[in-house]
Amino acid sequence: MACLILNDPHTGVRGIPRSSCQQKDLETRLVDYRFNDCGFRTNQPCRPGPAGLFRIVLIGSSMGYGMHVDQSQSFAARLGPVLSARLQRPVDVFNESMQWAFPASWPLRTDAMLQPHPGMILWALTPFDIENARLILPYVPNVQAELLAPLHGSSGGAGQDATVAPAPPAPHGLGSIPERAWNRLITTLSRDQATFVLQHYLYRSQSQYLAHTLSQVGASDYLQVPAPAALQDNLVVFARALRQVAARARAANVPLVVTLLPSRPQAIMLSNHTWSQGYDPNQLGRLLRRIVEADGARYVDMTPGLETMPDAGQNYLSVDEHPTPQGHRMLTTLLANALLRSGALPAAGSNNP
Amino acid sequence: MSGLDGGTVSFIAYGLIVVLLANCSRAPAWRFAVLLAASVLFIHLIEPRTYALIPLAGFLAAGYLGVIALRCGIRHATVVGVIVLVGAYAWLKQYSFLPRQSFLAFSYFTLGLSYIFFRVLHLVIDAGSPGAARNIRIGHYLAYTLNFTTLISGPIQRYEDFAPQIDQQGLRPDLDTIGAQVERLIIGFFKVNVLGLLFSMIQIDALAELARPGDAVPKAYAAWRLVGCYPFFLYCNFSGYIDIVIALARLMGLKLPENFNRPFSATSFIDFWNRWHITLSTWLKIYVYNPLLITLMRRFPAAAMEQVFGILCFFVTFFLIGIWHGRTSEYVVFGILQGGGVALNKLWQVILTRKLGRKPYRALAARPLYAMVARGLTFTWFAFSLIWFWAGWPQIHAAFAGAGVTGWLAALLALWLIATIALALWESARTRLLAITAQGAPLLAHPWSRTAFVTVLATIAFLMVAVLSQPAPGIVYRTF
Repeated sequence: MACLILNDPHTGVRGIPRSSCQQKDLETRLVDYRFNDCGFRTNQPCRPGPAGLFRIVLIGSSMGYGMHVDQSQSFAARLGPVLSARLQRPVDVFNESMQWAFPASWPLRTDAMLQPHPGMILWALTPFDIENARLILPYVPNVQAELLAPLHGSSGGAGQDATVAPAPPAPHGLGSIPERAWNRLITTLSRDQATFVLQHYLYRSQSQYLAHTLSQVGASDYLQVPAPAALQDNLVVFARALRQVAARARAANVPLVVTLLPSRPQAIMLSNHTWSQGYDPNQLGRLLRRIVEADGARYVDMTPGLETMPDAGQNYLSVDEHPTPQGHRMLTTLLANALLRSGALPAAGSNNP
Repeated sequence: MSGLDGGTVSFIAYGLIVVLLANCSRAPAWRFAVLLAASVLFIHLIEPRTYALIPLAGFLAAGYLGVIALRCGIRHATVVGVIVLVGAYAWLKQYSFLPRQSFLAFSYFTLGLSYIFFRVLHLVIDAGSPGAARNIRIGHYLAYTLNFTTLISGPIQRYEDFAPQIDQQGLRPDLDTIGAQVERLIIGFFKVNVLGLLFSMIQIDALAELARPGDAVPKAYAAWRLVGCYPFFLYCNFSGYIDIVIALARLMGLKLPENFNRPFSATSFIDFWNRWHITLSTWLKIYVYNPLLITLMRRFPAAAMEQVFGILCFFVTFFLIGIWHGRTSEYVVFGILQGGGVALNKLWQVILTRKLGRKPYRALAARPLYAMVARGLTFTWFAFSLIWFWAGWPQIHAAFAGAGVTGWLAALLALWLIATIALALWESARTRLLAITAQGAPLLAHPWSRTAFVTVLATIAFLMVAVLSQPAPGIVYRTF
């Protein structure tokens, strides 16, 4: 996090240009994060690519950013070479994805999206992005607490519709003491490393992880059928952000393609071909497709390939839920297949899909 | 209200509130009123739709009418009552051999119906027995059949056991009793919510692994985990719940019968069923095995046939135990494997006794190596038979297709071998640990040891349930 600026509401979270830092999580090894001259975790310099190159600007949040994996292992880094080989023409992926870059923050970044002269903008969403669609800045207690009051209900720079979720009202009074004490105890114990280790081993079991996730109110909204009101509200926020990004891309004559990167619960359900009544891993994709196509953008569905990938749920970190290096390899294959199948990419010798 | 129908925090909290109320007075009428009101409220909280309780009310009314008819000396009331109750039970439980069109078209409350069925049937059969004329008041009948501590999954208590307890002045639980029952509550909660969860997790993941493409050895290992873990899961799930209800009832001043007695220590399949779901097997021995054997012996009074009839009656009794568990054809196979297992076990005993003589056979059966191997085989047979208990045909097909014949044979042989060694080691370790004494008493039974033990269990259970919000599987036997 030392390489990121977390508290600028006019840009959302952004990387510090030409910086590098390292991060080690309990489930991962030490990972390097290096940022180019305009603050993106990508190899390319911050200028248009050479003639003949088809450039995809990838936008999204932590999965696209390659959280917890080396940059070379991320699907963003792997996708360009795979597409180049399959299309027989040079394709590169200029990765502008950023940790905590949720939908409401993308209308603030449209200039940056167009700067590298892309042939396509690819927005790789996750269910977590939709769940947090209205956040411009991360819900990190110290950052968020300072910014909630001035931002709530106001416009966020270019993002007229972007707002920050109000903080839940803090309970007061003597009657709330037991509840607060209980919550404090549970929160403290939840952060304990022993608890983390226990979770890590429990959630290696896909069945237990799934049972736990589905029992959590809110965390599994996107899987529930019919879609709960909270999910629909978040989709409305996403639709507003999309409208602005799509309008800007259309004005620059750059196709906008949107996809949904599968979460671990979706991967488990689709890979095992089974899910409980009242849940549907394909629901969010269907809802997103409707919104995306209504705005004249293209939606590509990555999930069909998951059904033929056994044990796909093991390609994610047990507790953190981000993809492992194997998970990024899986996402590369799924995304390349989905893009090629959809006809969103130009044939050799053409710049237009 | 969700969560009341299992070994959950809310069920225990509900039970403890009833315990507090029941102990407000020692008067029998008060304890009876609290139990009845708590049982009715319990059902209402689980099923608030009054109309959904009508089929259950009808079933209870039929049973009570049968009891009254017998008390009035109406001829053939026992036969008619049994036929009506068995028929009504099969119809309400929607057994698959009955025409679907005949079933009620709305969803109704059937939770605990199987256990109510045994209790009502026992009352009707016994009311017709010579010299068993008894006056069962409607309130007692309802408190007995709907008792919330035994409603969901038993144990199946007999009326003669229940009635005197509710009619006596309640004993105020002393500190020792409270301590022992709190200990049992925690152990039961731990079994259901921690151990049960872990065994279930392994079993479900193994099933998923069998359904995926993969190599033969990992598949055989998955089959081994699949079949080997389920008995432990079922034991923790069911016996943990029984621990909870026995403890709650004891705190209310009621003694419920034990349902388990270290079943995996059994050295034969017959012995196993004396230790597993004891109240069910005892009920069927009393009301099926004994009458059937007596009838056959009276009809065909040849001494040479006695053992053959014994084997046949064992098969029928335990086949019925199997099919009682469910409404579909899988349970017929489960019943055949239970009945077949007990019958083969009996046949083996008969043959060896004839060949060796009674005393040498007993000496052989008492040998440690024989007991070890027999214990392992008993476990393996039970574990294998349970496949038709927890799985539907599509899952069974997927599981068998996943590992193939060779894989399954290897898995079952490995299970037998490992169960033989592991269960023997467990028995030996347990004996040695219990032999360790401090101040003349077993160290493990010392209050300090027990307090430390349950504190550890309670801490782990708290971590799993409250901090990690791990959802444990529901009580399996509540669906029967």
